[in-house]
Formats: sequence, structure tokens, C-alpha cells
Amino acid sequence: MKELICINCPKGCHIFINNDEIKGYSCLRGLYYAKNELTNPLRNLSSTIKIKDSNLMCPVKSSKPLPKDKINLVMKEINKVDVSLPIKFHQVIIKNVLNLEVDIISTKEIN
Amino acid sequence: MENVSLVIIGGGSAGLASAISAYDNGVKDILVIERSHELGGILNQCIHSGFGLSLLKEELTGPEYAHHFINELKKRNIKYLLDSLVLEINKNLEVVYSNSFGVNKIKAKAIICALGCNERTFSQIFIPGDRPKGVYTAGLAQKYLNIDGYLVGKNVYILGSGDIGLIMARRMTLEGANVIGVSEIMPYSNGLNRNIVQCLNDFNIPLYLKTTVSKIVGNKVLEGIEISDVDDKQNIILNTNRFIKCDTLLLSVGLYPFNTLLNKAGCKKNSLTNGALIDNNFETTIEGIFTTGNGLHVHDLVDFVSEESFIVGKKAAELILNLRNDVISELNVNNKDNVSYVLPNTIKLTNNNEEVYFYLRVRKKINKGKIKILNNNKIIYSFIKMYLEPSEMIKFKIESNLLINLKEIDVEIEEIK
Repeated sequence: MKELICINCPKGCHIFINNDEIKGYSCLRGLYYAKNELTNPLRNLSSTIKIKDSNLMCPVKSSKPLPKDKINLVMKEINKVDVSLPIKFHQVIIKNVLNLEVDIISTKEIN
Repeated sequence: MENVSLVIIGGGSAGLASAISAYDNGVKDILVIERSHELGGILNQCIHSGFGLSLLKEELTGPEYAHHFINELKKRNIKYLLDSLVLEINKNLEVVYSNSFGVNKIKAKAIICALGCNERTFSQIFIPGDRPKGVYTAGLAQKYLNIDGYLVGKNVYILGSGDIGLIMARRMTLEGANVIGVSEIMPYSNGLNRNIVQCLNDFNIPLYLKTTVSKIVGNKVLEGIEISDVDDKQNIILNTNRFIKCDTLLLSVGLYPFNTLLNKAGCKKNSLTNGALIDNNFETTIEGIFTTGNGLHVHDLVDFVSEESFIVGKKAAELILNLRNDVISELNVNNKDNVSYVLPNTIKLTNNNEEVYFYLRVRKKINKGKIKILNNNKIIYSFIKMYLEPSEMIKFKIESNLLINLKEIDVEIEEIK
């Protein structure tokens, strides 16, 4: 028996896994989370990217969850680049980062 | 003097939602006054995801959540001022603000204060020792990192397991800092379980329950701290102190409403929340001055701030458009057993037979509780709720006809064993 705490929402459901049986989740996201957590744990990533010729940072995120063990490598890629103004909402800033089939996109419109 | 129907002070989550709601309820002449260079308030620095699940049914980052509401504001052509600081409001509903054009005064028919909250600082929690550079509140360190791109330190210790502290533990780790640990004075974490998992456990950052920082050490810059164990009454246990070398101490030890403008205007203060005393219209003790969001009481989720502010925008619109009915009875609300605070503080009833919203917090962890509204020890309304925690706000609404002709009600939570 393995116990997990779902990280999808503030509810934080306790999920129990016993061989093939998964219990305790209260939505499909929880079930999906529990399955992934045992085989290929995934995490959302948020960070910032330097804006060229500006003192400010542009907030970014991964377009979908990334493999947990790749987070540090993706952070290195994020810290290598900068971005020019204007920045559109959900503009792709790094396409297909490290061939993970995930983009790094802006989360804010900055003019 | 310029006249505006509704002035909203603060362009964060509460200000945006109340502006949108007031507009949709018929008030078109609105001015939002924001002190920062952009709308969105604290959401702009909360770049992590987890917002919007309850209200918008999708998981957004702070800037994305703000983006949604800023778009809604702009769609309605609601006017706003940036880089403008409100210096004073008064009982005549005049608003004095300052910006690069000078000092200006406007007259409103109603004012909504959406002022947000402050972080408790180290001078408020009395940590002994030196006062060197290197001690920050977690939210300030978050602003430096996420807005200005500046990492405040390399070896970090965090006091308090509130969500901002946990979020910053992960964020600073991702940016290359070494987060040594987190101390929590209580026997349980104050943060959400999901944040313990994804911010601490994922990065092997230890959480030390029932410990606190007992000394700050450093001449000009922070050289380290001492942490000590505490007993069940949160008193430090002597001779349990150990030294931890670090260059940064982050404090995540609570938030309280920012209330200076309302206090100065003469709105009576709620000593339990540090916000203002309000009635069921979210109106303060001065007619026409409303308050909402974290400037009223600190919320668990931004979604709840928006929901509350939608109501407040509507209430302000009803005053401005003369849609209010005469008050037929008025009653006081008292907080009793196991309730640390309850809002509203007074209830004014009209013939409208509207719903009355209640917001309260439990004083301690209770597994199974019966939430009761009583008049002279007689239950008028009650329900049972599982897993009550101080960190989780309890919200419910009741029909106002249950309250008619009462002078006073008590709100209490009975622990069911």
C-alpha cells in the first residue's frame, strides 16, 4: 500500500494505491496523477525569463506538465534565453524544450 | 472637484472583481485607482499555478488569473489610474490621491476599499538577536525574484510553513539557492498539503515542526540563526537551540489586512481581523464606504476573493442606484465558542428577503464540528462539517427571513466527538 497526496488542487486528496487498485481520489485528475506518480511523475513548472533592455522579468510556464526529473535541466534552458518586447499572452518563448514536446510560454502580456 | 459614482481603491483581484460586478449591476461611471504601474496586484508576482480552479474551472498562474480579470475590465471600458496612491478618504466620500500630475481630490457616491494585506514582519514576532541585512518577508523576496529578477540569497532558512514560504522554498531552489529547512512553531503545517509535497518533498527540503527561530546572528549581514524546539504552548524549550549557518532568513508568518486608509477615515476597526467592522452589505461603519478582499480579512484562495468582491460590487451598485430598501431590523453578530472571527458584524434586514453570507474561521483543528447560529441559546440554523482547520475559511449563506426581528445572534462551533 502506497499513500500519495494529490497536488492538482488545494483539496489535497489522500490517494491510496494497492497493487492495481487506486482509491481516495475525487476526480479524474487525481486518478491520472496517481497513475503518473508511480510510473513517470510530472510537474508544472513556472519561472521567469529576462526581458531584453528592461529591468523586468517575464513570467513563463510549461505548456503542460514536465517529467519531474527534467525540471532542473529545463530551468537551465530557461535561464539561457531572453525575450524582446512586446510579449503576447501565451507567446511561445522556447518551443519543444529539450525535445520533451512541451513549450515554455509567457503567462502575461507585456507591452 | 470631479465627481465619480464609484471609486475603487486597489486594482488587484478584489478591486478588479468588484469593478466588473458594479459595472454589470448598472454603475458605468467607475474609477479604479492603483498604486503600482500595472493592474493585477499581488497576482503578478505569484507566477506559480494553482489559481482559478474553483471559480474559472481551470488551473492558472497568478498573472494568467489577473489577465482574465484585466481583460474583463477593459472589455467594459472601466477607467483606471496607475501609479496613483490614495492618501486619504473621508466620511464625505472624498478621495485624495497623488500621482505624477500632482494631488487630486474626487467625490464619489460610494468607495470600495480593496486594499489587500500586509505580511507580518520580524519586528512583529519579536525574534531576539541582531538586526542584520538578510532577513526578508517571503512575499518581498518573491517580488524581488519574480518581478525584479534578483535572488536575495544562496543559503536560505524559512520560518513559517505558510503557503508563500513553501512556494518560495521551491522557487529559490529552482533558481539555484540551497534551502536548508523550514521551521513551523505549530505541530502541523499551515500550508496546503499539495505545497508540502511539490515544494518541499520534491526537493528534499526538511520541515521541522514544533520549532522556531530563537535568535538571529550577524553583525551587518546575516551569518546564521538559532532554532529551538517549542512546547505545546509554543514556548521555547531552553537548551534545545542549535546554530544554522545561512545568509537569508525568510519569514512566512502570517498576513493581516492593510487598514490604514479606513482607520484614518474613522471606520471602526475589527480587532479580530485587523480589517474594518462590516454589515451584511460589506459596508463599514461609514455609509458609502465598502471593503473587500484581503483588506477585509485574509482569504485562503484568490478565487474566494473574487467571489466575495462580485457580491461587494453589487452591493455598492445597489446603494449608488438607490435600489436599497428601508432597513426593517438590525442585529449584531457575536463570535462564540471555537470561532476566531465571524463576518459580518452586523446585519441589516430589508423586505428584499435576501441571502446573508457568513464568513468565519475555527480557532483550532476540529475533526467534526457543528456550526450553529443561535439566538438566546436557541438554534436558528446549523450544519455539520468535517475537518475544520484554522487555515480554511468557512463560508455559507442563509435566508434572511430566519433572522427577522432578532436583536442578536451568536455563531459557534460545537466539537462533536
